[in-house]
Amino acid sequence: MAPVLEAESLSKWYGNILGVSDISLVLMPGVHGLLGPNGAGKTTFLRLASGQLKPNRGRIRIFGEPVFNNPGLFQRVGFCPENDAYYRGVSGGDYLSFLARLHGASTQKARNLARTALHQVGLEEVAGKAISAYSLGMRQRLKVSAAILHDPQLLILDEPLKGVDPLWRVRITDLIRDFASRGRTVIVSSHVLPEIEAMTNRIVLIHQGQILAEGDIQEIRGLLDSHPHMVSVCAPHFRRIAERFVGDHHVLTIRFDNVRQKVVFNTDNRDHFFACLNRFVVEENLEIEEITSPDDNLQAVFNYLVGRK
Amino acid sequence: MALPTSIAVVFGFFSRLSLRNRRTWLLMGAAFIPILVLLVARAVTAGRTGSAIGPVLFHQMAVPFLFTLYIPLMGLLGGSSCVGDEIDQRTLVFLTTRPVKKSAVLVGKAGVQAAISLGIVLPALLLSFAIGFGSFILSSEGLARLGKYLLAAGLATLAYTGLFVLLGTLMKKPVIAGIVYIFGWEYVVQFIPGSTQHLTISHYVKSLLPYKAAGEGFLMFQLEPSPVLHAAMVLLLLSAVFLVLATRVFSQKEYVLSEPRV
Repeated sequence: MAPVLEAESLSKWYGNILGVSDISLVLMPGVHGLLGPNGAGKTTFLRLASGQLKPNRGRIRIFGEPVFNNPGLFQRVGFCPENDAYYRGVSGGDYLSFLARLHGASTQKARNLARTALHQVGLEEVAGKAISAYSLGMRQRLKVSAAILHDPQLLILDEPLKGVDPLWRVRITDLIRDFASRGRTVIVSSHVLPEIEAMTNRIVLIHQGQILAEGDIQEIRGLLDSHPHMVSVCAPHFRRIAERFVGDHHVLTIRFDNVRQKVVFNTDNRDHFFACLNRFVVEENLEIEEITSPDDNLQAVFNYLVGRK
Repeated sequence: MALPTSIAVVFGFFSRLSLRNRRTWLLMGAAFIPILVLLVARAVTAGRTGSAIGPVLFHQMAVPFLFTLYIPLMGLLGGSSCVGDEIDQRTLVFLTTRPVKKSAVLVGKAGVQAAISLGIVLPALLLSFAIGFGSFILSSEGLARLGKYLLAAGLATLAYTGLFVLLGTLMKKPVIAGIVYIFGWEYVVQFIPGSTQHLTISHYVKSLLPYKAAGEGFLMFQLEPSPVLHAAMVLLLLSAVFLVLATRVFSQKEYVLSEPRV
């Protein structure tokens, strides 16, 4: 079986800031999680893999072809960038139709592709609304739909679940798994281990621009279990959410941020915590604006791994 | 997808987007300043026999405003925004990760800017001329003169747009360089003896104008103008060369959309 992505001694720096350094990697079909703390080099690697950046040294190939300035390749590749960027004054439906037209679809076919892609991420009802009126989570889902619009063979997703509410996190995770089950390849980045774990057990750990480890997720999982994990939940009724966790043995501390309408939990069992959170949100029909996992703890594990190496 | 089809798709999307953009409407409003002035002047002098305020205002106000200020600035704002807006709004990635050549993206976007500029400048010039000259526009001489003004405006728009599209692909902040070019280089060079004037777009544009200002203001000629055909060909050639160079730069250059967060 031919590799989907091959990187050889890949290095990229911005002036004197290092992006990635001497990365050599071969990815075969399937779902691959790119895991690392913020600033580890994940985004730089994915920008190189999507042809937005030129390597300073080494090379990167997808389906055996160079990536930079090779537009033909993007008939087979879908890319969801991390940036929360969009064209002002355009609706989600028109935007996706335009992208489908760039893939060579006729006007009618482009509309159909756009409708299907929007349906997959639950945005068909707001297809005619300006993107600027979408919430952060909706814009994130729109970017995912733009990446899968043309049914690519390789999907590159940079932090696709950032800002997405819990219900749609699960659905997008299912979408990615379903996509891969049809023999496609997905490269997905995150600094949140459970997000990656829900999609795949093949991970690439990246830290300070270098690949720290590659392979099965179980080993890193074991290391993380021994570290407390911080989860920040931003919601209008954040105190009600906190209330539900009072007395939970796996929640070590609860801290409020009244200004930002946020509650920060420290838990020693992420799986249990997220399962409870999802249940509470559904049971009480709570509105959640943002869930983030500050990566201080993941950073600690990376530091541990670096030290071990 | 074939290059012309890609260009057409990009052109269609961004022309719709530009028409919804407030900047386009503000620029359109600015183009009608000379028309307003001419209308007021005509209204004030209405009924006075022998009043030639219309043609005088057209030559001394509308033409300098449009040719030395509005068209270059429109070219600068529109041309530099082709790539600049995509970088500032971090949307370039949506276009460069699709199976279309970067040259098609740039040509399509430059085409939108040129079309919008022409769509504003030519009617503004036509109306100014009609108000300034009144029934003279209906004579064959009037039509011929108007045609020369429209030709000069059209070619100037293409050349300035092309130049600033190229600057936009090369520089992070092309507006500053563009202003230095328009108000520095083009203005100063007209007072320098020798053939230095040939290194400006404005020299060829002025060479196409049918009426020469009487030795003062921005439209002063220190040297003989170039022949009309020569000037027209140079402007067309410059537009094409600028655009080809811009597509080459845009295709090969790496654009970092945000501060490296590695």
